Amino acid sequence: MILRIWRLIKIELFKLSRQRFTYIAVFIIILTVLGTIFLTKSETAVNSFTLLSRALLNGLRIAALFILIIGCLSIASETTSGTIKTILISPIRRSELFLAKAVTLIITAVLITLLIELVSYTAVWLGFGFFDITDPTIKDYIHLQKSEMLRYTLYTFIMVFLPVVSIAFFGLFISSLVENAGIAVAVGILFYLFIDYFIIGLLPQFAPYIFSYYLDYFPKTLADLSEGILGQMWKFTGIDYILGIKPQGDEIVDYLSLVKTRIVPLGYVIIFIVVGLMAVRKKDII
Amino acid sequence: MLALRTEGLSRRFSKLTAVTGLSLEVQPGDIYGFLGLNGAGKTTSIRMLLNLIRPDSGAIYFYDKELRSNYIEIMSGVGGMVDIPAFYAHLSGWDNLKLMSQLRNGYTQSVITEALASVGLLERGRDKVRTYSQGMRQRLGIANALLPVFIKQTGSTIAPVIILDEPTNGLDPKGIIDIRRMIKRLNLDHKATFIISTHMLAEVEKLCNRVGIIQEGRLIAQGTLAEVLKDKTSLEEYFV
Repeated sequence: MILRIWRLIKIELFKLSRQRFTYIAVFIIILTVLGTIFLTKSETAVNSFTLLSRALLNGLRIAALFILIIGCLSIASETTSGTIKTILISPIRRSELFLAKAVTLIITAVLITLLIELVSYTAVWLGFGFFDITDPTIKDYIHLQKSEMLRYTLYTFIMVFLPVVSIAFFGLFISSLVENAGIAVAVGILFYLFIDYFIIGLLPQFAPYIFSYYLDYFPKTLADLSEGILGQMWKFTGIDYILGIKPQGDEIVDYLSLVKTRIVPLGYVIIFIVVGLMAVRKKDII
Repeated sequence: MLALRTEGLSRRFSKLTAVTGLSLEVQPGDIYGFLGLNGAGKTTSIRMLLNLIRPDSGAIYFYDKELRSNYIEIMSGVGGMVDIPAFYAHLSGWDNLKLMSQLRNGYTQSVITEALASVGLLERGRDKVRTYSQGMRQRLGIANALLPVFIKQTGSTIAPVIILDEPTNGLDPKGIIDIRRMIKRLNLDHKATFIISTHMLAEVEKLCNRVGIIQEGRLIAQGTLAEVLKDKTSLEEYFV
């Protein structure tokens, strides 16, 4: 079974590598990241960590849309074109096909996220360098040292993978329920935007229970720290304490919220996989 | 042992009964013509044989092995084509067959060459599928269905069974003759069993040794051509 899934993953990656859409998406994502860095730099009083966090935030937002589209197309496009029949008339179980699509989406989401992180970090580092976060109004006052900020940047880089994957799986979930590729993409994007703007924007008390909420969660905090706003710093110091890098001090760390940043998207990932898998297994391939 | 046996296969789509109590019997090495008018239930039956849709009741056996409980083993030896064959249009015919043979763990250059050559598509194999005519896509679909015949190590203990739904649709007269010859040759050389659904009576008479006739979802006759024609002057009589 694992060998068959591996074969399918290789085929899925080969298909993605031969699609023009993949390269257009990568080009637009890189352009967004670099554009953010060089356009933001023209603003006054902006330090390099602010540039990095804004580039990461914008890159992830645009990447999330592309990954969502790839997810929405993953099964629906095969159903619309009829290629799913060609695949399934072979020694491949539907569950294996679904799992291969899921793993391919994880690989795609991780690679795109890594690309954003690599491009944003390298561009800011080569273009501007990294320094301590200082206060322009108080001479020689350092809010956060460069080494701390670099560590928090690394945390941010790691913590954004799961929300990106959850958005990809939301697309896969839609794709397994909707047979038409165009409708799947439209439904996926509309739901995503509805969640993003209506629930997260207008009903903030429900936001922590929405998977896409955690896409911005750490990059925005990094941006705040880079501007000397330290109110949410507990998110990063909490990770420090968990990893044993810092001994627990007098600070109050909201571990429950920190755990929620992992549990909520992971819970959605599991729900999307289970429901999607059930739908694909029962589906009539007409 | 039969190459294919179905027991009381039935399927409904909401209020429409597409297939009722279908019990097919296909001998190893048969070229079995599955004959019926448009809408008789041929394609629904073939979709059930290839596990694309689930029967409401009944069972399917290939070489006495139940399909769903021996799925991987059986499908390693079964090839098929339903409706208009679909492929990745941005890839070449060769690449499409390469992907499909990789799914069967049987990709070699010679397998693809043989498959493409058998349907007369070798010269255009490296062209993208989006440039193919309907007839060429049909040929590629047949080539894909034939992969279990050309892959030597299929991982299956069963001899190849190839199920083709209206294989000559969209082909010109020469194409139809070529495909007919190819099926006969592969049937002889590789002992492959073919199940071919069609509504073309002449096609069945020229190609098949055994026939099943389906009408309004029910099998009304089955046997060798001679048995089916026993009390009739031609196959046409079943449909008038």
